[in-house]
Amino acid sequence: METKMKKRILVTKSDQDAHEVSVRYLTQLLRDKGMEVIFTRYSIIDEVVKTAVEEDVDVIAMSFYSAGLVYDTTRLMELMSEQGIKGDIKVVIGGTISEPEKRELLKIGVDEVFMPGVGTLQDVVECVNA
Amino acid sequence: MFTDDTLKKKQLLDEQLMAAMKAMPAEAVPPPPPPATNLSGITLKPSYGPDDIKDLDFQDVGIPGNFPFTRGNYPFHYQVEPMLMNQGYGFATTEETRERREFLQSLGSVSQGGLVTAVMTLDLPTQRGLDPDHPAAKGKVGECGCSFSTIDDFAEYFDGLDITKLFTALLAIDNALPINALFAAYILDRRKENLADMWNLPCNLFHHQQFWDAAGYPPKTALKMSTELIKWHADNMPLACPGAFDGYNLGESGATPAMEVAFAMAHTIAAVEECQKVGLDPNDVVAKYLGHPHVSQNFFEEVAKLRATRRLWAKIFAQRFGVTNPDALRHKIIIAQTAGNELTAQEIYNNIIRVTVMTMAGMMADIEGMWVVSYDEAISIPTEEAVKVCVRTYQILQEETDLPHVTDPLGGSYYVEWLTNQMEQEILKIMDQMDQMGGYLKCWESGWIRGQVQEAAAKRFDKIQSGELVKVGVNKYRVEEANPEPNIYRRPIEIEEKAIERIKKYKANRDQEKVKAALENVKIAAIKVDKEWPSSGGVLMPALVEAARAGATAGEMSKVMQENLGYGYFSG
Amino acid sequence: MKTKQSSADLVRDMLNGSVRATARLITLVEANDSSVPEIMKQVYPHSGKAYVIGFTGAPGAGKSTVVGKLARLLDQSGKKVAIIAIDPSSPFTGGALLGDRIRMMEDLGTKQNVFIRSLGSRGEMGGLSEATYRVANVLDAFGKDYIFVETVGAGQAEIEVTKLADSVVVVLSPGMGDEIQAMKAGTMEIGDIVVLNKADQAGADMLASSLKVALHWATKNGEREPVLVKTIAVQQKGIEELWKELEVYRDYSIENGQLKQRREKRIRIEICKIMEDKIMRYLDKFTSDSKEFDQGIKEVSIDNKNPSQQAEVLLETFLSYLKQQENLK
Repeated sequence: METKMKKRILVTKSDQDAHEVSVRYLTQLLRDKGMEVIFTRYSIIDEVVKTAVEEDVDVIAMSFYSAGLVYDTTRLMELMSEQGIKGDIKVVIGGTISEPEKRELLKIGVDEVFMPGVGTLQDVVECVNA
Repeated sequence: MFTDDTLKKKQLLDEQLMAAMKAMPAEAVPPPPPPATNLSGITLKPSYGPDDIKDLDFQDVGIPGNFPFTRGNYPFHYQVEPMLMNQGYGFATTEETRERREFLQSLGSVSQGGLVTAVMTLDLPTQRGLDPDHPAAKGKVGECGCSFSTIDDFAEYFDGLDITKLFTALLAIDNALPINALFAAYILDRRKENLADMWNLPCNLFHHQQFWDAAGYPPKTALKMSTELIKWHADNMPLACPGAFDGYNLGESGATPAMEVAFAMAHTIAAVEECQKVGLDPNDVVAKYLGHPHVSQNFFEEVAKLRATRRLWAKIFAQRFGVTNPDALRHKIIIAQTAGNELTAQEIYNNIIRVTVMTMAGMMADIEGMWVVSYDEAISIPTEEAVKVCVRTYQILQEETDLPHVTDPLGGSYYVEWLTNQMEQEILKIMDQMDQMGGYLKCWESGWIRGQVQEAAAKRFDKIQSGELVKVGVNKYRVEEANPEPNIYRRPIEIEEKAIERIKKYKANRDQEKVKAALENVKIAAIKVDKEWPSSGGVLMPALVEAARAGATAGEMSKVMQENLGYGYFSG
Repeated sequence: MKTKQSSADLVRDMLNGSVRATARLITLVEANDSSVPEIMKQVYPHSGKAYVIGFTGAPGAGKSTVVGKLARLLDQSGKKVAIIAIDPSSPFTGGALLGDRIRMMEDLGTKQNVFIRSLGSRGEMGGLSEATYRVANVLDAFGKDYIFVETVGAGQAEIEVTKLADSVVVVLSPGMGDEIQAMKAGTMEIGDIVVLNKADQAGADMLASSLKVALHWATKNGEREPVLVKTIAVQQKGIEELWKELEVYRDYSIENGQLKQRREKRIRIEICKIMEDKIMRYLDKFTSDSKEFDQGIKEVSIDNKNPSQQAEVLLETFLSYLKQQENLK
């Protein structure tokens, strides 16, 4: 019997963060690559975990421009650990991130960090698809 | 503008040049350069001459200080009054923001009245209408702006400052009414001064969802909120400038320069029309508008755009609205802001050069004031060392160079006058398009404006990714050695804890019943404004001021408004 | 990357209330994994309790908002709700942007038990994939009282949802040319309830009147006339009324045996879909692998054989092939 497994990605950002150009673009590129993309905005980071579980996603891609990077990501990894899904879902973060922050994020278990001006969106797509 | 004789002479010169080039050996003839296109899509020739502006009506160009103010609002300007240093700043809480203010003062960064501005960027929760102790505020308090939610916060910041001379603006976005109500409450109850003496900028960007991916009030409600703010200020703070012509955020979100002006102008027209419904006179309303355009590195395009903006403003308000007050016909560009979206996170010191080009463009367009953005804007809240460079930029351009000696020095330039015309036409084309499609409000509600901005942003993004749009040091001439890690600011977590502690204490120490009753009145007023407009125009702001005086916080007031007026995503 | 769990374990966890196990099972049944027949065998006995409501209508009418608000209302009343939101998959890349959830999320957030799952149509020509039926069964077994299925709303899918759902809501709004659309046969007959959303916009009252007339004329003798409910979903208006009408319809359809009939029809369709799918897979394999088939095609193009006659011949060949494949199992 044929299986039609598709890669599912949750692309999300805080609803207080107004920046969206690269996020919109990313969702398009991911879709063109044959993936199912669920795009949401969250008010509180807990919503992201609920969504990720219900939608049984393979990857969570988060974008941060204005605020909340360290707090929200840390909380996300904590919640994922608590619910036993940390190893199951790849976490990819992009946005206005500095080198020290990148190091911190990688330390708490984020899989990939994309900094401004480094690489292209295609690189993000490749990473997600891997 | 030119005699037939001059034009004939020009034609002769052109023909002579053509002949000379034909006579040269083929290899020696330079190939014609590919035409350049500016951001607004206008194609440029290699050079311009009198024939390009022969049909220009001299009245349209005029003289500095005279209708239609193409050449500037005043007969002379920087010779006596420097371009104002109207940069915004703000982060963490009022203490840290106050320290930054003192630092700026020490550098000589001054605006009107010889004082540092109090143009304050507010943090995300405050912009959204959330107090620091709201669960969704966690991790975001004081991060990208200052946290403001109670009358005590105002006291912390403004005590000891002479507000009658201060250029004040709290960039509160949707939270503008509650924040300004708190400001009024502070002046009345703590300072016991006259509101009529205060100069303030309420900064009402209720239409932000046309270009930002953030929730907001429904479009019709947004126009009502804008009117409420303008009316209250007209009645109580006549020196204030409640009208915001916001091109900056449109530009930042991707709109081209022509689009930026078209959409900002269309919004202003709709806002003024709404004000007329509640009985306000455009002669007064339009006089209290300030310009906040985006200024990119496209030097000449920006100069032309700003000149065209002034001309269009004067003509539209004179012709469409019958405005005769010359102060209203002068479009005052009080906070032009250098483009943040053109700055890079790599080799951040390059941004100093970019920002200098933008600031010069503003000066050449004879603007009133500028917000020069710091070189670390792409990665951080400005650090002290970065902000110092901004202040020096203003000071060097104003006091060391000859830029301020002559007003509108580019006036009469074949290229600049031609381009000013082209920009005006391009802007009007977009405005006409909106009229054809059913009007500004329809274009907003259907998401058309949002779509245009997004499309422009996507095109620009593509060009950067492909390298067609060069970003030196990023997609061209990039060196892969480790760049020195610049000094960046990240707000320490104790700041957030301090803010939460403070507001909890504040909420515990007030007359809860009084606050509750006052908020109930806000609810009634909000519903009235929604249902009985325009006859109910003017009831909301007074109710908010009363609530602020009773001790309500910005978040509490905002919540009542959002719950009763609707809040969400309404642009298509 | 996912830790493997046996389907038996997943079903057990789901029946014990695990959201994660439920989500995993949905992924498997959607993909038609080889474990699916076994999964469905275990799941099916626990299903049959949920009431399924289909939501359809033109894009932009506010369908997702209405669904989100209604789900919130039910959740606050203690009912267990699940939403299946279907968006079209690209026929070229196979990818999809599943964007209905975001509009519902504005209200639902975390403090509730509404399970939302976004599905791509995954190659189904505008209809509901047979996987959707299985997904609904899983959510049913998981213990949901109500399952809302929100479709793409573009013709074919509208018809499909009537076969899966116990009742259907059509969402329209003014200014979308719906007056014309509504009069066209199809939309009128589908809805048990018609929602006129954005009822505060210009033209709403007129549209409501013309809709009522059209609904009346489209109703055959003895049948129930669909009810029109006006809503302004973004302001929570009309949602309680919608809920009330849904309950009224439910009682009515139970009383006169229509619900039973609908469910029988649904089972029939479900089984047909599974059979069709199976046959189609075999046919796909046959037409791509079989040398006799290739030969048959060549005979038409080279020897000028008649295509319809040849098709009859090849059909016989296929049927033998099918039998052979089945015997091999």
